[in-house]
Amino acid sequence: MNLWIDNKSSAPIYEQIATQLKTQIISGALREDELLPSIRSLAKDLRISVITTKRAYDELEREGFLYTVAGKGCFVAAKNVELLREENLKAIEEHLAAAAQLAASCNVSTAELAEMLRLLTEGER
Amino acid sequence: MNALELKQLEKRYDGFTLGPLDLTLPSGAILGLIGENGAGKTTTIKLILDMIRRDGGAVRLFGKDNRESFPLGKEDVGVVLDEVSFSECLTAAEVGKIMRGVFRNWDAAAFEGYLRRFDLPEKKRFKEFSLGMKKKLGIAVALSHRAKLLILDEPTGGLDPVARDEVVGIFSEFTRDASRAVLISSHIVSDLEKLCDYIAFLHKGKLMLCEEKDRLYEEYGVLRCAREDFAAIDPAAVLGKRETPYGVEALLRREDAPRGMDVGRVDIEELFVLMARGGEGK
Amino acid sequence: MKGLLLKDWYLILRYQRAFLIVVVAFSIGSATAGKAVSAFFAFYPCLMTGLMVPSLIAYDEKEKWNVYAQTLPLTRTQYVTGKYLMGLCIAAAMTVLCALIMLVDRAGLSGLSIRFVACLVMQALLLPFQLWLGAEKGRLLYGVVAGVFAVLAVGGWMSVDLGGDMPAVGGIPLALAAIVLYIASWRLSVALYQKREL
Repeated sequence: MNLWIDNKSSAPIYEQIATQLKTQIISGALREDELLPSIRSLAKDLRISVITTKRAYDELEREGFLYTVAGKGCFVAAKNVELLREENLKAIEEHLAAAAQLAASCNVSTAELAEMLRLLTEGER
Repeated sequence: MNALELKQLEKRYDGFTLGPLDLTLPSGAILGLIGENGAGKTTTIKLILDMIRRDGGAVRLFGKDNRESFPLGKEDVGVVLDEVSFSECLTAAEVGKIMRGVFRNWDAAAFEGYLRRFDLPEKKRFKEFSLGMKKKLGIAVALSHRAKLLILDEPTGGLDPVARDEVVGIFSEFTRDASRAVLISSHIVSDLEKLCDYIAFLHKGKLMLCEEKDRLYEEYGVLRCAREDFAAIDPAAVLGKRETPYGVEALLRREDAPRGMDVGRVDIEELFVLMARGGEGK
Repeated sequence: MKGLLLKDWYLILRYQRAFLIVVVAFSIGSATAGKAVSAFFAFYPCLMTGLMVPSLIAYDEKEKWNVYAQTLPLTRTQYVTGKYLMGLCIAAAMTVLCALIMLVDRAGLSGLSIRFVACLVMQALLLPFQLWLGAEKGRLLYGVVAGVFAVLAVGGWMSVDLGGDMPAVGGIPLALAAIVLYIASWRLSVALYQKREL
């Protein structure tokens, strides 16, 4: 498991942790039912607040990426394909929205934007 | 269990009154007590340790009134005052021997470990120590008697960035055991900001706020806008501001921000400065 | 408590070596010099040694050890008691030293107890003021006390010859009285120091 805290980032620390863990769960780097470090020891290893770390775990648990067994700790939840897809769709939407906003600011039409996307995805093939 | 509780704690001097302060530090947590020089941070710490007499209120350490539990209760408290003051003629090794005669729980091996870790010479006299070395020796003593609560007044003042980083690591490590807690007072927080679970602002003897750090980020934000736009905001919502000829930076609760205006993230130092300024104006 | 005494011992070794030398030199002088100057020689080491503990307290204040000591699991009573114990040890050590020199010199032990008494009384008078008001004002008071002592010493030398006439055994009740005074002074200092804001 790899984690970095970027002090320069505008994203809150709990979000940085949650995002990185999520990415590793999705990519399979963190396997199903793998035991995650305890909240306190993760916080101390990263030298951050325990409350911040708890918040990141809470977030992940709420979104179904991990589950807690009382007295044992937090584990990676079974991968939920539907959940992952939803997660990715959300991210795609966000990027597209940003692109659309940028396009609007310099008078690029929606058609042109769609064309761009088509060319880009074709190029990848 | 709470490591430390202040209830309506008060101290009155001519021209300066501290409190009444209410503050709670749960075990396992790190609290940053932030305030400018003269805000009452050191006075608060001295009251906690009963070094000066309080005029009202109560101090509880691990559930017990401090006066009742002292002096033995101080075994459990590791203290670093803003000025580390050992006799100038003493060497670090001698300080260790003296402390062995002071603390029942003195851990000589741990102390020697810290001396090595901090690169402190055993034979050099305290008066030849640099400011940073003095501080490190104070920290080494505070950590070497199995304390459960660390009370640190400006612990990183005078330390170079490398030493500061090391010390921050030690404070973080200290609370790996959830029965322990740390109270750090400082006027600079940048290097301690990540570490703290709770933040308290002390300004002119009063507690401006005491809150979970992460909630502060959520509750407050900085609005950067043109003067015209600023004029449209309800002055009551503005907790503090900084004006330049080119615009205004205003601190407000995120919920009070006008719709459509982007409220930026505020770090603790900025939050404190703007809040202290806002307090001046009112 | 042990720690406090050890710390004071380190301080004596570092800061007060000059005291020790002067005390030894004057004690030798006191025991061997002619009768005319013996009162001065006899009392100067007493004044010096009586000043050692007050000077330790002054160092504590200057180096802010007295403030730091309050963060340690020690009471103010222990701090004060430590100083008084140290003072007693110093007076005893000085007396033993003088006795040795006198015996070696075959001068007899007459006038020994008065030295012990002078050293104790000096501290008994000084310490409460110093612990109550701080070293600075305490030092001022020392000037006064030392002056009085000087006058007494000169007066004593002129009227009765202290070095010669005071019998050693007869001095024991006097020494006991001094110890009682010292204990009273200790109790007073404990009470006064308790109230002091550091």
